[in-house]
Amino acid sequence: MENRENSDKVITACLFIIILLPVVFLIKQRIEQAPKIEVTQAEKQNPNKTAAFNACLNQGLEYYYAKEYEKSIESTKKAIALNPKNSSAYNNLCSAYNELYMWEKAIEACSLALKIDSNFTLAKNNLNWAKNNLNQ
Amino acid sequence: MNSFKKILNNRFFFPVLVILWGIVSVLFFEKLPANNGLGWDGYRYALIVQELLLSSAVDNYTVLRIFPPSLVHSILKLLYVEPSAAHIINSFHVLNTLSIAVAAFFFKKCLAQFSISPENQLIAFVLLLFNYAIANFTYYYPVMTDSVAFCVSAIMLYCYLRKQTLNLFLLTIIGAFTWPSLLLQGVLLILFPYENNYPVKTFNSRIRFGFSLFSCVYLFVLIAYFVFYSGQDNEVYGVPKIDQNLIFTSAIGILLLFYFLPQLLFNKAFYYPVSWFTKRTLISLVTCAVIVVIIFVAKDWLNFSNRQSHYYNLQHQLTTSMVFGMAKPLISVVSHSTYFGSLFVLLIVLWNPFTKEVHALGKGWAFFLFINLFLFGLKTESRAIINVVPWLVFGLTIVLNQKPRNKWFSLAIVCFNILSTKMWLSVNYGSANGGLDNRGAALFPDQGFFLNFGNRMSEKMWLIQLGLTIAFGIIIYFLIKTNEYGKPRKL
Repeated sequence: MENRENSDKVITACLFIIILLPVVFLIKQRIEQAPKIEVTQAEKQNPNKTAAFNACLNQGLEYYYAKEYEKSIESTKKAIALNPKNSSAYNNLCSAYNELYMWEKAIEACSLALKIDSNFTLAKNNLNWAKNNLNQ
Repeated sequence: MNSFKKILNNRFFFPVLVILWGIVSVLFFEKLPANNGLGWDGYRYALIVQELLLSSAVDNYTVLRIFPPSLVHSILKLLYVEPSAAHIINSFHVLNTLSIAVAAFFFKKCLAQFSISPENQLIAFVLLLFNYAIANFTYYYPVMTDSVAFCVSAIMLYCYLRKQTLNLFLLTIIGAFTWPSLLLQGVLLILFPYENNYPVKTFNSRIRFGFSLFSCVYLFVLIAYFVFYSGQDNEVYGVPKIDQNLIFTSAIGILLLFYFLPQLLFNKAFYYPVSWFTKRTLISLVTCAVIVVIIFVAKDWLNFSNRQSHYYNLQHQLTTSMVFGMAKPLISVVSHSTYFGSLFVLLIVLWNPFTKEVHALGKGWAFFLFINLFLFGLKTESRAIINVVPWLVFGLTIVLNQKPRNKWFSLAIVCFNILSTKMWLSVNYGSANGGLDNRGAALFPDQGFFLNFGNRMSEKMWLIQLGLTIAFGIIIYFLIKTNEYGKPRKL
């Protein structure tokens, strides 16, 4: 009986640690990245433009998942027109170009993503992927 | 033989086996080539691993799957590892393998609590782990939240049987941000805790018919509205539209399933008012209220940019379930058999004894199973119900444990599961060159992957897999009947 109670406590302790680990990082990011979050929240004050940007970006992703890469590019370009400072949009554009083997355009798009956010690892990977394929 | 039983009885045997399988799979098995190995949903999770809340992938849908990518993010940060695509994939490989090993560990403890024989434990583990979902898909397409959901659900099973409310509370919080239906599961299990020797009293036939009729009417109204009146159909590339020539057969097929599904609820004792208001009711209610508040506050706090996804929409969930389930006759059953092996065929054949067993396990179990299967059971992307699998296997194992063992029966299960793992078939998603068949499904080599998902199965694959499922069902049925499986032999 005592053993069982101990094992219950061990499970509880493990679950607490497993929950706390990401929660600490999530809270830390909310605090440290407050300025970036404020920018995003400021975008909310212009809800029509932000909503349209999100809709275009999401539509681009939907087309991407459906393997309709040309339509994905079209939607993502619309998103970029609405918000040219979003690194993810350029990265998504790069991914779609990569799928169409349009390496030069992919490189151009990912370079722009990295200009906005030089730490964007996925954009770096996509850029390398395009560069490697172009060299082959 | 005794030493084999000893090994089987060791609680670390199956977890170690899972870890070995994980290592072999990661080293030697095929990997999804799409999107640098991240896949489609995986691409979104990878963005979350890299940027957490600042990622464009965070919306009101992905926020309910944010726990596994956040956990990977935290561990990579602690280890000073750069979150590149390769590192993310490897981290998910480790997370998935550990999740399944932990699930196996707790599942084994549950089997031991119910004194399941070693032979039936082996069958239980074949049903639980040796199928396409766990043995193949997990390693083929690693950046997903399925394995973590499977693990959380298996630990929930253990905690439910041990009446550990605090642990169920913590698991529900983890589950709600891993696999949305785990929230409902956890809340129901906390509200209706496990009781030993739960009374079983069957309803009379009129009330039973009333339950079944209600279930069928609900489904009929949905079909009539969404499919016949609104003309909803599959619009996604590579997903075949509803087969109009077979639409009535499809409707009858799913209505039949919904006729038998409410059998899970046929225990009169579930509805005794006294059983709803016990000493623990208030504690359970408060715990559930706390969970719901935490989740709703955290959900909005995490999705601070308020991005909305169309997946997070009741109508979308209902229509995809319905339209996909109506695409071809019995496509949901075929899909579940293809994905989870013999489990669903066994459930259909042994539905009566299974539901009786569920009645004895209490209303938390029965209500959660019913609601999950009622809402998501028709989804032909069988992944959607991975959280109910440990519970279904456990209930079924109790049924099998009460019957005399039959080696042909066990052999048939093992063979069907080997077949369903598709370890013998190249699943590699080819390229966009495969093309589509005349109904809109991808052809081989793409079909090597998509034949495992009902909504994307080509007509040929549906027919072959339907044939195999029916053949296996007939074999199992006759093995039960002709060998008097579970019945005393006549002299």
